[in-house]
Amino acid sequence: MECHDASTLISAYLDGELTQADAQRLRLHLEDCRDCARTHQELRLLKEQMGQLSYPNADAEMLKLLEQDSVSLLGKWSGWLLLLIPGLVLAAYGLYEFYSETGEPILIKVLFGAFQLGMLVLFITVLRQRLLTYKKDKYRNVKL
Amino acid sequence: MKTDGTQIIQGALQLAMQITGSRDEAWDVLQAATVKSLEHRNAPARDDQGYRAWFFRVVHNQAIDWLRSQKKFDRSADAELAGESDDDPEQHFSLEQRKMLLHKALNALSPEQREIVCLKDFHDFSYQEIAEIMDLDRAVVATRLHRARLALRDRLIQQRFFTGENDGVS
Repeated sequence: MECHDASTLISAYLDGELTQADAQRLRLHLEDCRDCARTHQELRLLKEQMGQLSYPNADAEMLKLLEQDSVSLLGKWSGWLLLLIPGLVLAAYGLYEFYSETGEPILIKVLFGAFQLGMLVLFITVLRQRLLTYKKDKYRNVKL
Repeated sequence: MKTDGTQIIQGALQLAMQITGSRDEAWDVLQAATVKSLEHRNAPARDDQGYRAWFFRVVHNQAIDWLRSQKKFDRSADAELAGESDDDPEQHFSLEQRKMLLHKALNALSPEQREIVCLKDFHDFSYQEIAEIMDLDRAVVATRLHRARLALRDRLIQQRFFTGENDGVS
């Protein structure tokens, strides 16, 4: 094994990410090559020390803030649901009442029906457009 | 919040600090990532084994967005977390001095190099998990990690980190 090949394997060896065969080949090289053995020693020490680094922790108050974020998000979604579901039911009921009402002239009912159909067609067209661009948007996965 | 959940949050905050090099920014990144993770449709369950890596990936993306917006992507971190250096008459570095030297050397790396070393040696993710978090190939993770460690080692050699002699270079 050449030093160049060995060097690139040293990190993976330290991390236990080498196959047994590669690890064995590297061990043999390290016994013979002082330069690579030194690199191995230095990186091993580095890895050890990295694990002992300390960073400030989030305190309880900060964690609470994060939890509040989730609660407010939950509130937002349940708010939308509470708004949408009864709204849809009420709209359906209204439409049913309108069409089953015998007092209204037929012409009004037809005009109103055409108006609703127009809205529906518009909505579907926009939705389709949105879905198409969403599919083609190669950056949509960039942000999570 | 469960203990496990808290540990993941603490780790994620540390990762954000490691990438951004700033405690305040790290906090903003973590908050944004938390909201994103809650809104995300395909989020794994919190007690799922892969949740930690998945959440770190969200934090990674959020932090990279922040770096891009700051145009700091290729620059080294501010020295905010590095601590102050003190001259010490002792021949050998104390543990605290070693930590400080290591912080300084880490902060001199690019955010990407710092992140990959931290994900492995501080957060103890496997190469496969790092590949998922950073959206890289596993083989690329291996080479970049090794290169980052060598860069870190070279900076530490300049600081006499391995020989332990303090001749005022720090």
